[in-house]
Amino acid sequence: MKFRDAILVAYRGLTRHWVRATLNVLGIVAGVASVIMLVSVAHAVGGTAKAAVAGLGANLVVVYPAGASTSGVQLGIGTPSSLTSSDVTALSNIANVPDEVQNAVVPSAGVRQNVSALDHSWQTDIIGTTAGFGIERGYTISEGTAFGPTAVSAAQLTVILGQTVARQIFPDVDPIGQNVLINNESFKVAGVYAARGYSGVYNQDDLVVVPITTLWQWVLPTGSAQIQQILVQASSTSTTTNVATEVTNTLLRQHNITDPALADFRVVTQQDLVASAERLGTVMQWMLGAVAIIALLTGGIGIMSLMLATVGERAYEIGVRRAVGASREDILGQFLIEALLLAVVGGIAGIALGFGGATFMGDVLTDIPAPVVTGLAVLIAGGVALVIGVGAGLYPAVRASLLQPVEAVRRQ
Amino acid sequence: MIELASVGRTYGSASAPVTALRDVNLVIQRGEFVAIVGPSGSGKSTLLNLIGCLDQPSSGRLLFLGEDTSTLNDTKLSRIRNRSIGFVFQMFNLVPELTVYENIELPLVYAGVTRQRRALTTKVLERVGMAHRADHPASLLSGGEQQRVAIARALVNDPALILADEPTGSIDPVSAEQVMELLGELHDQARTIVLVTHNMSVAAVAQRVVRIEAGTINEIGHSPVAETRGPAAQVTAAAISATVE
Repeated sequence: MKFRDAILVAYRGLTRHWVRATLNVLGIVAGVASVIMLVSVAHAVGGTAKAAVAGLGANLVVVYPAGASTSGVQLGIGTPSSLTSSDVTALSNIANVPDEVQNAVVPSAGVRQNVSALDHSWQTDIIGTTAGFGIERGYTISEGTAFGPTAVSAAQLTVILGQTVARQIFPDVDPIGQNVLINNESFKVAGVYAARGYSGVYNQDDLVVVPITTLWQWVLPTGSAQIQQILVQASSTSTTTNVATEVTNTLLRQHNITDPALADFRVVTQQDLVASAERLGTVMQWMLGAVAIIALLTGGIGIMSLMLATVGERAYEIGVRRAVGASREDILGQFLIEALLLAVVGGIAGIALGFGGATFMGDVLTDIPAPVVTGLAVLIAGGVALVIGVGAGLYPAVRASLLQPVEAVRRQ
Repeated sequence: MIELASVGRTYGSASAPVTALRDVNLVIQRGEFVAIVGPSGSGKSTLLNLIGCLDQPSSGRLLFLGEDTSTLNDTKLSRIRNRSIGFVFQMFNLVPELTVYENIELPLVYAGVTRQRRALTTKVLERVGMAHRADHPASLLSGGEQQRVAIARALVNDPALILADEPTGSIDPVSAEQVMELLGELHDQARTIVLVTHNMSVAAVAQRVVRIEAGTINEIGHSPVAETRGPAAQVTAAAISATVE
């Protein structure tokens, strides 16, 4: 039997039962499309999580109080902090962390609260920090001025707005020199940061920055003055490990801890964060991929049950074909090719739908980063569809080929 | 051409065997027209299936063109069915969803014939007078038409042996007459024909009648009618009409 004829025979076999064939193709389509969409979303989210920490700056060493969030990006009120102002002072001391490896030490703390002006109000992250914050975190002033060390030491009621906040509460007015209310205290707007956009799912423009002393004195409840994070910027990427060691040693001394395993703080470099974000992204991709592959398996089981039913139903046809000269291999081939055709058609349609679905999700769900369809996802989805299609077709095909010609003719 | 030596065929499990054929010895010469007759359940279809390599004997030996079929693998047996045998069944056994044309070309498809396929198919289609129905689905034809298509399919690979299992059993007298005429013509063209029937007047067309009862051949006789081949067809047609009525 010629290969072309084998394909044609299989094709005719499918089109004769096109409703069932279509349902089967749909099973594969759904599976392949969901693999592609889920893996794409996971890839995008993982990728932007990585970008988010990468955006911190390659030279950063971050100190957290023990037990605080590992993400390092989100600032929120956590457990009482083990970090103090004297820690900041100690870290800033050149004797402890030499200035050839370190540029600046910036403590910060934050709280989520409403900021209002005139008839507009907006809930955002209020971050208390020092003058070095903008530089270390990559914010630049687009209008007005940043606050200097004096503002911090005097706990001035001054504030710098992120772009999003500026747009929300001053849609029509130049915000510079205006007053905003935070916790019923009036703050003067000194400057506005240039827009930075999203980093992962985090809107970097949705924040206001005040001197950390002001945050403690006027915004946070009395007695909850604390430091949630200390950023130490190394002079270059190559010195970050060095800085991390200096910082750890200094703080251990400060806190009178001899056993590093008992440290009440954690020191993390930006590279550590990137690596863990990468791991998280990969784990997420595989997890969602596995979920989607279950969907594909379901499609495969559908193909198998159709094929098995078909073999029983077509025993007569198989017998006729055997009688006129079809060998076992011919019958095996016919059923395998039928399964393969279903898988290929379903796979191609699924890939198309997956692309479309990913694009659609990117357009509609603006809160998540736009899904990125990777070649690997397409390859895996297509490959698995093919393997499942053929795998599901194999058993029924073998059953069909083992039918004795005379048995098959008898069962009319 | 075909030689059966103490052939037996048993179905079912070893604990409860059902014997369909026992100790059958039969030789069919090239060019012969043999009718196998017997009542229902006598084993005549089983015998035909064995001769047609659709089935294998449980015991004894079956030689097809000198080769012991028990030594042949599935591929070789399939090739024999494909190239050397044309089957005509009582229930036609066409693939109902395929067209007349597609049914007839099936043996050529499995033989791997490509270039001559259309010409060969068209030739036999015309021969049985079904060219005008080439694109009809086989399931929409009458019984007589289906049987003519089945004969065309049996002929398309130009086999040496035609096996017919009650070919007139499910069709009207006029069609039956046509079918028997076709078989007669095929015999005249030096093909070997083995016909299974329970109808003695149909069997009368054959040169030789083999009677089978309860799985054993117990009588081999020569048909008196077959000695004079010419007017046989008319005699048969009359006989068939009589029995169908």
